[in-house]
Amino acid sequence: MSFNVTCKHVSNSLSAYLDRELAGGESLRIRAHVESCRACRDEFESLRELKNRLSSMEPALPPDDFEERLILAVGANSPRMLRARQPSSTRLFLGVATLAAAMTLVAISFRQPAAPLHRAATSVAKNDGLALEIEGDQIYAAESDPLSGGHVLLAADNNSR
Amino acid sequence: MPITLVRARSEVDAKDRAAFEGLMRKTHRQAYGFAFRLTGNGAEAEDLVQETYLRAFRFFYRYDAGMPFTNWIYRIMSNAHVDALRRRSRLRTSSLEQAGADGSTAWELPDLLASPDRPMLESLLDEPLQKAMNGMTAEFRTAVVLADLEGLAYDEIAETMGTSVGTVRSRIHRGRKQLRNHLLRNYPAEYGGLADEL
Repeated sequence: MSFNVTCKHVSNSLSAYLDRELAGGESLRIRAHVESCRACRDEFESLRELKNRLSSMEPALPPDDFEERLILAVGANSPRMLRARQPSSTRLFLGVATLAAAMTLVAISFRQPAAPLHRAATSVAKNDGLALEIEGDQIYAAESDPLSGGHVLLAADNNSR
Repeated sequence: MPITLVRARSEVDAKDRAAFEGLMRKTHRQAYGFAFRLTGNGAEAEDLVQETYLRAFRFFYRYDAGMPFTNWIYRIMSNAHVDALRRRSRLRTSSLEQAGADGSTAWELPDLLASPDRPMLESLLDEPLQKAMNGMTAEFRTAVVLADLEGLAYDEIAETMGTSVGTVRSRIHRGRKQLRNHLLRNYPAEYGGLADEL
């Protein structure tokens, strides 16, 4: 059978057919075509062989001491401590440095009584995953939402005068 | 005026700490396996697992017990992996290879010769299948790993990746074709059995 529109449609559906993710009617139509079309049957067999090889890959196992290092690092909710010189340590340092710089800025601004308070929100700093913003006498820290990718409030200054 | 930063509701209650630790002990091997297939080497997998559980711990109050915990971890890990790739792309120039006639996007093959951790990568990338997976577009790789190695259904993958079932279907199909074509091109002796229209 020549490679026509039907073959193209079938080809694009072969992975879903292989994974049994097609509705009954469509699945039956694909199966009928695959049985009668050599090119699509070869394509299907090729994808099935690849899926079998992927499914047969041995699971990668962590080092023996990984569990305890992970529990220590996450359970203590402390700075990244799994391995030395990892990129995330740099990120944490930048976050802390940014926060410190922002707090310094706020402290300086409150030491100048003649200066009016800025009511509009001012973005102080932003780096990977951490954003700081000042609005009036409030400071907000937000970070990336791990699910949506947006920002969520992490901390706010609620100290009223 | 003193400035006091007050932890908001993202702070996990102390009573949840033990529950989270229990879940972490139960799932960390599976999480590591997924991370290894996404990153292609142990060092990056450890970093990714740690980053994932740190995020999960911070947002544990938002975990819906109706969803398998591993699926929730996979979801966070998928996002953390994409974040890590974006950070790396700003730091490192990647070699690009066109994926071929299937219309898929360019591969993200790292320039191993320019990488400071080249010996470690080389020793871990001797498995053709893993090496081919490392060259896949990140979204395709995640979808294929979740389907073929973790055994998730398309609707679960869609929830994990925050996208539609139709997009998952497309990513899995295009991802498998990327993989197959790469293997045929680079390892014809071992993977010649995958040949069909080539």
